[in-house]
Amino acid sequence: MKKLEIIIKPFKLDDIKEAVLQLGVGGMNVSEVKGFGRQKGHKEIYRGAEYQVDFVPKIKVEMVVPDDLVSRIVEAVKETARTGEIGDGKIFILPVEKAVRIRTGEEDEDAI
Amino acid sequence: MNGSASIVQEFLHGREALTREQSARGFGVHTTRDYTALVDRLVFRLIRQVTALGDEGKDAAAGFAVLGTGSYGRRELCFGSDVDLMIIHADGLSQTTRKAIAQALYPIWDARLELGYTFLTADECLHLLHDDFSVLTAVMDLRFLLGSPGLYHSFQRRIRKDLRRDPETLLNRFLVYQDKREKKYGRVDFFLEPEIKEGLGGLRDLHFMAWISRIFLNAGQLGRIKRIPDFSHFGLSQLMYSKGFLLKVRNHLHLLGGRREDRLLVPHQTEIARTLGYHDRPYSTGPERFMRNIYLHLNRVRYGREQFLAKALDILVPLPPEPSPKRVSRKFQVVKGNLVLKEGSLLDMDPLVVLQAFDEANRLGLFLGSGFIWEAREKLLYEGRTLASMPEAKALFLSLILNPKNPRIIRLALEIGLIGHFIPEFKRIRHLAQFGYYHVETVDLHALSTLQNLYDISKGVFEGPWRQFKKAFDALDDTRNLFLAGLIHDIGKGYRGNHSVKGAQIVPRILERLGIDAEGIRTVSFLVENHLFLIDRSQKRDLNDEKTSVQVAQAIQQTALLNQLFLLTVADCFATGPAASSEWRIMLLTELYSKVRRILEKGRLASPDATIRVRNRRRSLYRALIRDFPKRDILALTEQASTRYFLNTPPKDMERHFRLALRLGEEKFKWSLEPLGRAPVTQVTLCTRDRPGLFSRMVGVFTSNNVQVLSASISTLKNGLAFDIYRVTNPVDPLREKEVWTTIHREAEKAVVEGEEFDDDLEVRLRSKMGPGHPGNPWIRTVRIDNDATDFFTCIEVYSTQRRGFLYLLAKKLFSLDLDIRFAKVQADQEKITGVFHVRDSRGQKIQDPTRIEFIRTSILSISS
Repeated sequence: MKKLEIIIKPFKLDDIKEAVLQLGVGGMNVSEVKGFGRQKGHKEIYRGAEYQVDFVPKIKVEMVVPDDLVSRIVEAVKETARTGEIGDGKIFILPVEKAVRIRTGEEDEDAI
Repeated sequence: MNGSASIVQEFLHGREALTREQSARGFGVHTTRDYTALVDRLVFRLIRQVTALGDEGKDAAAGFAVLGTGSYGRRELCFGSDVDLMIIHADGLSQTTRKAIAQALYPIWDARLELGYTFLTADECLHLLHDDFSVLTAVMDLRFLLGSPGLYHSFQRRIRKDLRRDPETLLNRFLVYQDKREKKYGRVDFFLEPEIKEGLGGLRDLHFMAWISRIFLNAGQLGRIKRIPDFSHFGLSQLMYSKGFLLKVRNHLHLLGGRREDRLLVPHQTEIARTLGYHDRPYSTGPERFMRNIYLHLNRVRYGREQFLAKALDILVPLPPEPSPKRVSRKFQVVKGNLVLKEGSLLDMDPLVVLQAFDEANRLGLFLGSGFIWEAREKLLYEGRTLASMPEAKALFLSLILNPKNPRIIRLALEIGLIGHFIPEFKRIRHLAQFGYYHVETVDLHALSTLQNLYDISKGVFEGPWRQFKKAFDALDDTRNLFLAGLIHDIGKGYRGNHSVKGAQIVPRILERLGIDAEGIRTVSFLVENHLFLIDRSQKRDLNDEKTSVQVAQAIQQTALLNQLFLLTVADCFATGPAASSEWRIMLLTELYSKVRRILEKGRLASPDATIRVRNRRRSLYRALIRDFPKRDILALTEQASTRYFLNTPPKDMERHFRLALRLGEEKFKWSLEPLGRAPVTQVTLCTRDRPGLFSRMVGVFTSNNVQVLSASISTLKNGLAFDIYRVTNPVDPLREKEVWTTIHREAEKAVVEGEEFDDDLEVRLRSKMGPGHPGNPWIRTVRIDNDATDFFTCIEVYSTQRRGFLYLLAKKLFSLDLDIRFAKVQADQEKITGVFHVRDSRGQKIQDPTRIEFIRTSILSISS
């Protein structure tokens, strides 16, 4: 099993959700986060009330999936979340040791 | 022990009978009393078995007293409640007796009750209650059950005496406790699924009032506070009714869960609604109606507690008297910070006085005296309708709402029905809960909070990065419509369907009644209908795409309207709850707002006729294409093209582009050639997959085939297609024209496919073609780089004397500078050439770095053939 941590632009959330559900992913968690990469924020000038925007709003999507789904999900996310402009986001893939479904006690692949 | 078993059995039968008693008055206060009495009997009989107490259970010589505490002490036992006992003694209690009592109580567990008990001396108790707030409150609700009454009374006296030693610290402990409760239970999840006992507006609030009364106001029972002048008009009976309702619901909850469940979870809501007979109605389901009643009572208890505490604190910790404001109308005076009538009774006066008092108190930052409030409530009951139809009353009401300086007054206006008389539609949202996440208040209270936030914004309360809220507010000439919208923006809730749309339909009726002019009605309707628009767009669309902001700008059209909508949205978010007003969310909203504002201020992109023109062009384009292509493809492609494209491209050319694109399929490159009028000029309409350097290569191909570019208009679509239009001189040799075009087509295709590999080849051929140009003409060039015109592109304008091949060099220079051309317009004639280029860097951003901008400028200026 692998955990995917995906950072995307906020407006891409619905598209990503659809794309990933179609591939048979069981569920996901979503959080509103702020961040920057090489983009490093930018200075916004709002009519004289200039202030430095250090962190840009992003969405983080997390999911744990079976190994055989990983590459397909990565491809789908790459295609769906991409605008071609800086700040499109990143995908991180982490190994998962174990998973448990609290209600039934099912483990590992049965838990996701 | 046989005796115990039968005692327990009897108890269980009695309890069973009570649970089945579903009579009209059942399950409320009376049931809890009856149930408590049952438990009393159980405890009594069990303990009597092992002690030498008389029939009444009283024995002055007994070395102990068994007391009930908590809800048991309060006689408020619900079916799942714990039974808490305190067994006090004067330190002479033998181990044997202790053990005996404890064992006697064991059967209570068999009675399926959760039992808690401690043995304490007065000293031990006093020690504990100084550190543990829950012991302190347990002691508040002690009730003698059996043992030595004398011991109990002396115990009470000692406790009382001790508590009176430091009332200030004690009061503080209560206030801290209350504060913690607010923080813990003020969250979304506790709003949607309320905690009937501990939650805000729950039974705890009533206990809290009782404790304060008992300790600080010398009123043994809550009912006795009415003897205190400040509380003579306190609406206690209503609170007691609410208490009965909540106890009833709690009992049902306990039976449902089979244990002490005080949280009204959604499945329980449905179940209990059904049990209590709440049926579905056209606009609301049974559970929704039930929950409205719940919120009515929770809100009422909570508000009651707030008023109670304010009054109590006034008495206990009175603030130094402030000097009476000088400008008080003749009929009023100020007593202890409250506005009251100087003489006479409100009931004999013109109902307008009610509003005058509210208005004046609001402006002066005062509250109203309780006697006055009571009379006002009565007055409104009978003469509210009349009052609401008086023009002077409407004016005063508006003056109150449009300048909501004192939140307590505005809330009071809601509670006594004043708002309801002027805006009857408010009744529908009263105590209505929102089951979309994020909200922490019922809709009526949320409306008041929104209003309050607008006022706070106007006063500059929001600081730091939210400073610009005040700036937007100050930019408004007239704030009336904004405040009105703030109050009624959610008036459409409580109906089926989209509440923004429904609200906009209701608004005219409300505002006409209040005497608002047609323009105001239009504005407020617009604001109400669109109060979720900015949030939606900022989160669901690409803010980096100019089109997102253009479309919003086109929908709103005026800066003043944008400012009002922005402020309404912001005030609404902050009134909804923490999740809705997170920095994350507000940042996105503010970004969209700024971009849209710039477009409206700088621009022609979203002006009224630009908007109309774009719309008409899209429509006629659609009509022209629908005969030959599927609707979905046309619409999808239309979505990809920018507003600039629609504004700047003649309809016929657009149609050509679209036809080429819709037929492009797997091909890389498609064009159509049209002769232009009688001049030897051809228009090349081109559609291809855009790639870096495309523009320079196209110009290069034309130039190397001796075809001069007279004008160019290029546009990049979101999906990566390029829609270009070149107007060029025809090939010099008319006989070989067709051949030349074929060559150009082939080379252009090669340029598109091969990209950079093509360039070297092109360079060689071009070098031989380009001459020094017209000698004698000085080379004049101007380069302007504007980052202010739009949020989305850096705008580069180039003016130059015409030289052969200059356009190619310019295009190539732009490419070499790593600039991505999204939109361009070029005009060239014999003398001069002008070009406007909207560019971004390779990462899709505007060029922000001043050094880089300067470098670009000098690079372009340094072009020479």
